Amino acid sequence: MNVVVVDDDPLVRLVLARAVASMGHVSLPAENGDAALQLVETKSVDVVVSDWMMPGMTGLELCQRIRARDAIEYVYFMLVTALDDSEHALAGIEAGVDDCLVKPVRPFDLRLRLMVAERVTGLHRRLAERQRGLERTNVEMAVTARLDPLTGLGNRLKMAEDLEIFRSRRERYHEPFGVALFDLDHFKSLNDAAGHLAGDRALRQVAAIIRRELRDSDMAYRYGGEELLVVLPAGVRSVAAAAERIRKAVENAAIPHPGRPGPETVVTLSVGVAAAEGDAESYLLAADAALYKAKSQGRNQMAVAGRWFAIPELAAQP
Amino acid sequence: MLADEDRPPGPDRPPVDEAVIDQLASITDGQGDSVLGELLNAFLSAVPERLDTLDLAVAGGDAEAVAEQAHALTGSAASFGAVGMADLCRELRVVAVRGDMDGATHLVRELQAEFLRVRSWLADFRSRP
Repeated sequence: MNVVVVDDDPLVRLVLARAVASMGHVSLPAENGDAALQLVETKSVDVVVSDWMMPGMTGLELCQRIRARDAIEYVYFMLVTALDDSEHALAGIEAGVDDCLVKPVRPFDLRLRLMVAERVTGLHRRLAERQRGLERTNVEMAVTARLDPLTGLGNRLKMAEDLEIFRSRRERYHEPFGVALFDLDHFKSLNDAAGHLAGDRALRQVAAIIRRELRDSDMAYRYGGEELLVVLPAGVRSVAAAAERIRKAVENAAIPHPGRPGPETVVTLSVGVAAAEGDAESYLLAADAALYKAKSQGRNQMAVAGRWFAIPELAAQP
Repeated sequence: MLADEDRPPGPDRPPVDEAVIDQLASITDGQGDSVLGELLNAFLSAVPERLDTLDLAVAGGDAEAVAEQAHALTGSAASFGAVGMADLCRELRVVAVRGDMDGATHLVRELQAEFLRVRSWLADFRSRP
């Protein structure tokens, strides 16, 4: 253990420091409370053995200062008082002192008390470690609870939370955002012809392409079975451009699509784009309507929702 | 007020409590060797200086400094088993706080004499086989 020994008397300090070192601990002598606090702040201190009566800061004040720190690591505090000082001992214990020793400290007594201190600080250390472990696990669980295990994209919970953040940013800073809802064309026929594992694999590959095409500020989620949603902090033109880039990238990846009706033989996406205006339900519905439009116009294409249909260069193109 | 009330007072009592020295002798360094020699040397070289300081404070009539020094020396003396010195220091502090400088002068003399007894006792102790 690292043991700070505080006494203003150099001879007493020398005896205590040698006794502590003799028991296999690291002894850190301090001539007053300020020096002791300095050691507690800078070294990883397990125990403080402090005289009560010292010029400047008393042992009691030192203990109170140490207890007032915001630290996980526990410092075991031993106060040394004169024989007729039971009042001080009581006040000390009330103020957070763990143990009281009577002057002059007998090295053997110190040895016994340090053994107790070691046991107590060991327990505190294990508790602190467990606490840190729990905090880590909580963070990990919070992340996995928001992840779609198949695609590695966010799930609906994560999506709902993020859309709320996007909404508040839109209101506070007038930052626009938009959504693109993707659907794998003829996904059911892929599952039927090649099996569900092949379908899962195709979904994973598409998700990987989407993530590759996005920037860090863009988000992607598994929205439903074969529906993936992308949210971009940008105006609808940029969202549409990104959606179209993703659609082309998936087509160019040429992921085999056995059993697909029509001339195509690879996995393709239809996508509906909408500016995020109003509440989530309305713009997601708008994106869904645009997606439906893209599907009905022959699939493997993009459609933009609402009033944006009127702009020719943003309208669905085969 | 005194910790050693049950001990017989007077010159029969040894100036040093041998049990305390035995305790100090149990303190060892990293190699397992006793550091008693180092501790006693530190004590024997520091105390005369502090007695001089006390002497000066008494001569200068500084009762507050006498009380402070006496208190400080109590801890050192007790830590090295010099029970007679520790008793005299406590007494000196009380007398100084009272402002009785004649009493203080007398007690500092006694303290000096007691230190000589301690020193010769320690010399005997160290020369034991």
